[in-house]
Parts: sequence; C-alpha cells; structure tokens
Amino acid sequence: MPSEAPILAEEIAYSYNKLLAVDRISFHVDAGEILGFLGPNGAGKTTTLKMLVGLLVPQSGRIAILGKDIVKNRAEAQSQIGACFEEKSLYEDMSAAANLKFFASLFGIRDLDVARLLDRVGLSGDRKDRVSNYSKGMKQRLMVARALVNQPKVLFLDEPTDGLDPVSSEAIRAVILEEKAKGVTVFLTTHDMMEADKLSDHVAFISEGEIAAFDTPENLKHQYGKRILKIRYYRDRKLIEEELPLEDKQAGRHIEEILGDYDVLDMHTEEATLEDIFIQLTGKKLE
Amino acid sequence: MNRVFSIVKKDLTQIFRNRFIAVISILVIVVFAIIYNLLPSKVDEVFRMGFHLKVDEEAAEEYHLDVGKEDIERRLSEAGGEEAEGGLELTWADSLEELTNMVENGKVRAGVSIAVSGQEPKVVLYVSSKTPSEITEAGEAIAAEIGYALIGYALPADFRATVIGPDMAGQQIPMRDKLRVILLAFVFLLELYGLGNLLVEEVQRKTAEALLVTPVTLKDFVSAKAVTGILIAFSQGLLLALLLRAISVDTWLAIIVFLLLGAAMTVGLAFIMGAISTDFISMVMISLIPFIALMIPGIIVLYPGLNSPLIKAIPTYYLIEPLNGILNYQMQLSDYLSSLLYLALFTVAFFILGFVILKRKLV
Repeated sequence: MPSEAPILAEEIAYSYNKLLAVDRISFHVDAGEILGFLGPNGAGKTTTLKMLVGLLVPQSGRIAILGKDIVKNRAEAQSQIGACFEEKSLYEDMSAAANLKFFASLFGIRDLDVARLLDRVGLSGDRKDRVSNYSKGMKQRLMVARALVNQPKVLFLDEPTDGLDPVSSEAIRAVILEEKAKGVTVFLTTHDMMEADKLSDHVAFISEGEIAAFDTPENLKHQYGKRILKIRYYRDRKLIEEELPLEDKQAGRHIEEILGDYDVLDMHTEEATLEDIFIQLTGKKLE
Repeated sequence: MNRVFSIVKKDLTQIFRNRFIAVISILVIVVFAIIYNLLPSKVDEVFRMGFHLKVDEEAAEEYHLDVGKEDIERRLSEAGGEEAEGGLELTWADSLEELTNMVENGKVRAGVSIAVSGQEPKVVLYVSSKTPSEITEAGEAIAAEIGYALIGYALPADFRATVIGPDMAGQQIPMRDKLRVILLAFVFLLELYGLGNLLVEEVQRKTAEALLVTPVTLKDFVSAKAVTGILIAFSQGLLLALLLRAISVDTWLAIIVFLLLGAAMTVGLAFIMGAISTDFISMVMISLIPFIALMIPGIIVLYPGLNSPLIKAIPTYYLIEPLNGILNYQMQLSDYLSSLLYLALFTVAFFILGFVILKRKLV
C-alpha cells in the first residue's frame, strides 16, 4: 500500500455500543483519484467518512490524510480537506456569501472569491439571499461550494446528489470532475451506482461494516459481470427474444443463423451494472 | 484565536439579526426596570390602627378615665407606642361599624375596640382575613398596650421586642430593592435558554459538525460559545444593573465582579443544558426543575427566615446573597471572597461537565 496516498485507512474499526459499524477495513485512494464508496444505508459509509475527516476517532487502526495521522494531527490535516455531508448543515439565517466567508475565515482566508465559487455551483445570482429560502438542490450546491473554500487537496463528499433534481445533480458532478482534473483526491460515498460508475476511478463495496470488493468499475464488471446480447426476431410470425452470453463461443454461430434465416427486429448488448455485481457479492440490494 | 473570534462574530451577528431574540432580550430589561421603578422606594413603617372607644359615665368615674382623644393619645405616647420611627397612627371611629368597615377596606391594618362599662373592660382586635399573622400579633400587642394605657393596670409581663443583628427600624429595605437582587439574578437565568439555544441549534442543525471538520477544535468551539454567552449575559446584567441603579461609586467594582462571574456561571449551566438537550423544546423541559431550584435563593432575600443550610448547595446562592449584601446592607467585596471562590468553582465545574457531554455527543 503506497504510503504517499492522500487517503490511507489501515484496519480501522468503530462500534456504537455493541453495534459494530465498521469492522477493521483497509483501503487507500491515490492522488487525483475518485473513490466511490458504495453501500446501502447503514452499511458503515458515513461512519467511515466521519473517521476519515476526524469527527470520530477510530477504535482501532490508523488513518493518514495527506501523510498526517488524523487523530494526532487533526487540525493540520483538516486545514487541507473539504467535507460535504448528506445532512444540510448551513447557517440558514445567513446568506450564501456570508456562509462561505465565515467558513473561509476559519481557514484564515480573508480574500475568498465568493462570486467565482458560487458561479461554479450555479448560485451566483442568489448569493445575497438567505439560505432558508433556498431549495434542497441549491442548499446542496452551496454545501459543495463550502467544501471548496480552502481549495482542499482532498475532498470528502457524503451522498452529494442524493434526492436532488437532475440539474443540481449534474452541476455537482461537474464540480467533482473539475476538482479531479485539478488533482484533488475525492472520497465519494453514494448508493447511486450509476453515479459511482460515471465518476469513480475505483469503487469499494461496503456491507455490514466490511469491504466486500475494491477495484475499478471496469475490472469488477469484467470479473463478476456477464456481457449478453439481447436479440428479438420473428420466427413463423412469432416474436422470439433470446439472451446470448458473448463469452459463449457457440453464440457467434447462433447469431449468424438468426441473422441469415429470420427477420430480426432489434438486437443490443447489455453489461452487468455495479448494482448487479453488488447484489451478487453481498446478497443485498442498494436502497 | 482568530477562529474563536470568527465564531463569536458570527454568533453575535446571528443573535442581533434574530429580531425575536433581540426584542425579547431588550424587553425583559425594560420590563424589569419598569417594575423596579413602579414599586415604592420607601418602606411605610407607620402602623395604622383604627380605634373605637365606648365608655359609659359610671365606668369613666370608676376607672378615672378622661375620654378625650388627646388624652388617650398622650397616654399611648407615654406608654411607648411611638418608639419606632413612624410609630403608631390612630384613626378614630365613631362607631363599631365604622371601625370594621375601615379594617375591611384596608384603610387601617387593624382595629381596636374598647368598651368600658360597669363590668370588666372589653378589648377586641379586628383584623382582615387577609392580614398576615405577624401583623395580627403586632395588632394584639398594640391593642393590649392601648387597653393597659387606658385602664391603668400594670402590665402582667415585660412586653418587649429585642432585635437581633442590625436594627433596621427606620431603615427597612424597600421591597423594590430586595426585588432588584432577584431581577438581576433572574435576567441571568432567563439567558440560560438563549445561551443554551446557541449550542442546541448548532448541534441540531449539524453546523457544529461542519465546524469541526475545519481546523476549528472542540476547545475553539466551546471557547467561542463561552465568550459570546458571557458577553451577552454580562451586558444584559450590566445594563439592567444600571437601570436599577445598582451601580454606584461604592458598589461598582463588587457588582461588576459578581455580574461577570454570575454571567460565566450561567453560561456554564447553559452549556450543560444545551449539551444534554436535543432541541429547544427538550431544553426548556429539562431546565425547568433546575431553573426553579436556582431561583430558591432569591426567596431568602424576600423572606430571610426561610434561610437554611441546604440553600447553600444551590449555586445561585453565591450570586444572590452577595448582591443582596452589597446592594442592601452596605457590605463590601472583601466580605464575599468565599462566595467568589464558590462561584468560580461552580463555573469551572459546569464548563468541564458541559464540555465532556458535548465531546461525547460531537466527537
């Protein structure tokens, strides 16, 4: 495991009284990568995130953020990270600009370009409005903007697009990809497999506090998924639908027969999704 | 330090932006000041008593009574009825009915009827059902005095009151000055809710969590809340003290020291309330019993007779008792050094407890 990885977790565990939330898991995220941390509600995603940002102290194991132990050098590590939680934690009686300026001041930043930051999340026109008047999507975009006030090297995002409208979701995804392009390392918890597939370099499946799989989405699909060809055609005026595994060597010959002998209505390939693989590996659905 | 300052600045802005809190805070002070100024500034020490005398001629001769009012008043005066400043003020009633009406209407505190006929003289004291027992007792003593003064019998016993401690006769503490001490303590206790809410809101809305993933530490967070809380509570206490004329050349240092420590202790208590509550409503419910308990030392200012060693276990005792002594009994700061120590200890204990609870909740 590379010691220089911006996010490094070794054998970390956490229990709430007798409930084991995270069970001695290890992983790392390389610089400029996005790790999609996937799991259903209650799997241990948020507990892991809280340990990574220094809100919870791991009961065993060690966490290093940018090479600094998060427990021993908490303030130093936190000065270089940005975090956005699922729950809206904004000062609602303040404006968006005031919220950002206040958080910037906590990092010792006095010359924050508020307009530019709000522009990135599509809120520049609403900068003076009270946050209490914002929609859920606007609040979430402001939360993401707030996580960026200190130009972090590592970004932690907890379900950033959960329950949002498509416009807000897309705006947030665009910001995540912009940050990645700048070399920022991103830890993204989500139960949206499509989003994880689109954004992540690596994904980790977490279930009941344990990591069930850790790899790139492509490798996981290749390893656990089946590619199939779905074909619909007419035989004796009757519509026939067949699913042919592409890995099957006999499939090619059978496809040729269909194409030659029958009237084909349509055909397309289908890949296993991360969700299918998650279910296959954990026996659980993502909700 | 900059981080603490940033949070304090944000909190103060939020507090003053919240019109409801701003209006309530100012309104409380104004109302307290009005209550204080409406109450009488002096204690009326005159004991007003109605008097009806009925003497038939035979009895007058037998008892050598001169029934003239001046003569009776002279005899009463000789008997010591006007020893205390203010003393006794007699209002004569021409009939028994007039006397009872005077008592019922509150024109006099008690009425004495003395009927002297051929038989044994009859002395009756009339008091209203609302009259406190101590006034009734005083009336009985005065009635007896009048009776003896009139009929000339020697007193069956040496009937005298002995005052233990400083004799406040003629310099009784007006109710409003006693109330002033309670109002000052009360304004702090009201702040419990406002200050506790400062903390509850941050925890409930998860903004505390958002702060703690920045370089802000729990110590920074707690320090900032303490500074904001003490600033607000102390300013309110000081403003009220000025409006209640509690600050003078002689008392300013002692009052400011106790207000500052009182504010700090209130903030410490608010920390505990805020840390154990989940929202404002639960905080109000949880703090109800401590709130009542903390007000108990105020009662001893009004009724010193209720003082008991148990009251010394209530933290506000060490705020209320010194304020009462300094404001009403010309005591000095040096007379209350132990109270200062207790207040400081309670404050530190509350802060530590609040911090521990908050740490368990947040980190």
